[in-house]
Amino acid sequence: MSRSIGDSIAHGLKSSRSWYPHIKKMLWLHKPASKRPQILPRILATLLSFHIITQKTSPVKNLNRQSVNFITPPKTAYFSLLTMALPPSPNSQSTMHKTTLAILAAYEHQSIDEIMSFRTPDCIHTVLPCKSYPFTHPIPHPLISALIFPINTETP
Amino acid sequence: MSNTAYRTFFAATIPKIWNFRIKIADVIESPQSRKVVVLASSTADSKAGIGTYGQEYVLIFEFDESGEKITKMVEWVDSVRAKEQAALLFG
Repeated sequence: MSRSIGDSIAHGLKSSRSWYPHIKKMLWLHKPASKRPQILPRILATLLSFHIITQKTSPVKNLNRQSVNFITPPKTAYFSLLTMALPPSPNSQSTMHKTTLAILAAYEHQSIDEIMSFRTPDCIHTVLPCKSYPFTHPIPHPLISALIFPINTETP
Repeated sequence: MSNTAYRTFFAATIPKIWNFRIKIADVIESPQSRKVVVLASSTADSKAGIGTYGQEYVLIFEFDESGEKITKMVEWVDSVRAKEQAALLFG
């Protein structure tokens, strides 16, 4: 049985936090990145992002179209879209990848000096909340703006 | 936050939690824009007990040309949980 994208999202959102496994399966996130279809998921991700952002037909009862008080789902949803839209990491042994793991390890060590050693002197750290993220904001989520769109334009 | 501000902020939190562990759910690299995005969650112990601290994150790291230092970091957190944790740690 196949569902439309809208129906699928609605089905997932009805059960609040339990929607993520559903969208994860729909977007092949349960498969290794190297085994995911490349073209169709990107189209799906784009459609989904516009669907979520515009919310023309809200699947959520009593949706406030100016601001949706979801707590965790938005970032998880956008991260799902990111994961689908971006190609698999070309080199997991890259310097950036190694540095990222080293930074996270520094956090585990709870060593402020170690953490700061990975930052340039003018590094800026911004902490953003996920609660009350306005789904209907006219500008796409910064994650999508920063990553999906530029890379998609380079996709054949 | 500048480095100085972040150091002050983080130094106040460190003594409040221990056995801090991070579980990485996914890592995405974008070499073109020198960015790495990480979906992760954390757990830690606090004065309230074992495993009483925890958070979920989307972290965006922007790197310099060497890839060895970050020039910018954006940290998305569950703000409701953060509020609860702040009350737990500092209340």
